[in-house]
Amino acid sequence: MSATPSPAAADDDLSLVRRVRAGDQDAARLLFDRYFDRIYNYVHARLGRVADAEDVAIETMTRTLTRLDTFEDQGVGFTAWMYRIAHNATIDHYRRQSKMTMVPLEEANLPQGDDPSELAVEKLRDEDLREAIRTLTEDQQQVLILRFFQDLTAAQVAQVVGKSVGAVQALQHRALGALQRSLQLRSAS
Amino acid sequence: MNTEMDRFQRLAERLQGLPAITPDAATRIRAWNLVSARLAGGPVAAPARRWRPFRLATALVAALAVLLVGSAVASAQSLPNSALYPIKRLDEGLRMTLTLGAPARFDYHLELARIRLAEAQAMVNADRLDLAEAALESYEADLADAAAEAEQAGSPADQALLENRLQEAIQVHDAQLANLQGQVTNPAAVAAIQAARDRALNTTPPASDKPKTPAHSPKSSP
Repeated sequence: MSATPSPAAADDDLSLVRRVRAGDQDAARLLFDRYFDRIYNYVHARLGRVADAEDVAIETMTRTLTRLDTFEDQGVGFTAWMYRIAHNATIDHYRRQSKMTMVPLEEANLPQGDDPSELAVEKLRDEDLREAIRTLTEDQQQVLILRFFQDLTAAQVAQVVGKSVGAVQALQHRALGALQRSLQLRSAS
Repeated sequence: MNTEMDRFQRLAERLQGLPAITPDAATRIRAWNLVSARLAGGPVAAPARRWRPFRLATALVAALAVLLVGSAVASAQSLPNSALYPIKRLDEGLRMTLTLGAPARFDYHLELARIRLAEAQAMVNADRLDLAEAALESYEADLADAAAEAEQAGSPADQALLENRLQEAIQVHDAQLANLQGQVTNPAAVAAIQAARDRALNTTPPASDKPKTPAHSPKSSP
C-alpha cells in the first residue's frame, strides 16, 4: 500500500534531519510532506477512526520534529525511529481514551473446529479485514500493519519493534493465523 | 490442495491489496498548520550558553529579556484558551509592526490567517464556540488586511500575483472550513463557520474590480 523508503531516500532523510536541526523550517516541511500520509495510514489502521488518526498523526509529527536532537542513526533508521514514535503516540492515545481493554485473540474463546480452508478471503469486505486486525494483540497488529500496509521488510519491522528478524517472521505467522480465526468468527456470527 | 501456508499467502496478498487510507488535502494543511505552530519556537532546543558574571543591573535586564523572550516562545504554541495567548498576539502585533514592505506584510497576514484558522478548529473541538468565533473574526480581518497589502504592492503584475495567491489561499481555507463544518453538530457553530466561509470567499482588495463571487459556490460543501 505504501512505498518502502529506498536507500537514497534514507540518505536524503538524514540530510533533512541535519537541516531541521540547524533550524531550517523548509526541511521540516519536507519531512512532514514525506511522512505525514504514511504515518496517518499507520495510525488509522491501528485506531480505525479518522478524527483519532488525525490527532495522533499530528502528535507523531510534532514529537518527531521536536525531538530530532535525540535521534542518532545507530542502526535504527529514521523511518523505524518515526514508527516507534507513532506506536508510542498510539499507545498514549489508547491510555487517554481508556481503551486498553482489548482481549488478545489468542486468549479469546474462538471456535477451533472450523475448517480454515472455508474462509474465502477474496470475498471479505475491506472494512471487515481492517476491523479484524484491530482485534489482534498489539504486537500482531504492529507487524501486520507495518509489513502489509506500510510495505516494510521484516528487517525494518524488526528495527521498529525491537525484535530479531526471526521473531518478527514468527510473529507475522501467528498474526495471520489469529487474523484468519477472527475472520472466521465474524463470518460465522 | 490448500495448505496453511497457501491460506496465509492469500490472506497476506489480500491485506496488501487493501486501498490505502490517506488524509485529504485539507487535513494535510490543517495538520501542517498545527505542527508548524507547535514548532514555532524552533524544532531543536538552543544550545546552553556558558554563564558569565555581569553587574547586577545588567543581569536584571538580561533576566527580564530572557523572561520576555521565553514567554513569547512559550506563547507561540498557545491556543486562545491559554493564559499565554495574549502574549502570542502581542508578539504577532510586534512582528507585524517590524515587517516592512507590502509583499512581506501580505505574507505575514496570510500566515496569521492560517494560524487563526487552526485555532478556530481547536476551539471548536474544545467546545469553546465563543473563542472559535473570535478566532474566525481575526481570520477574516487578516484576510482583509492581506487584500489591502496586495493592493499596495508595486506594479500591477505584482498586485495580480498577490491577489491570485490570496484567492488560492482562500480556496484552501474554504476546504478546511467545510471539513470543520462537517464535523460539528451545534447549529450555532455551523452558522458561524458558514458565515466565516461566506465572508472569506468575498474577500477582495478594496479597489479591485474583480468579481466578488468565487469560482465555486461557498455552499457547495457542508
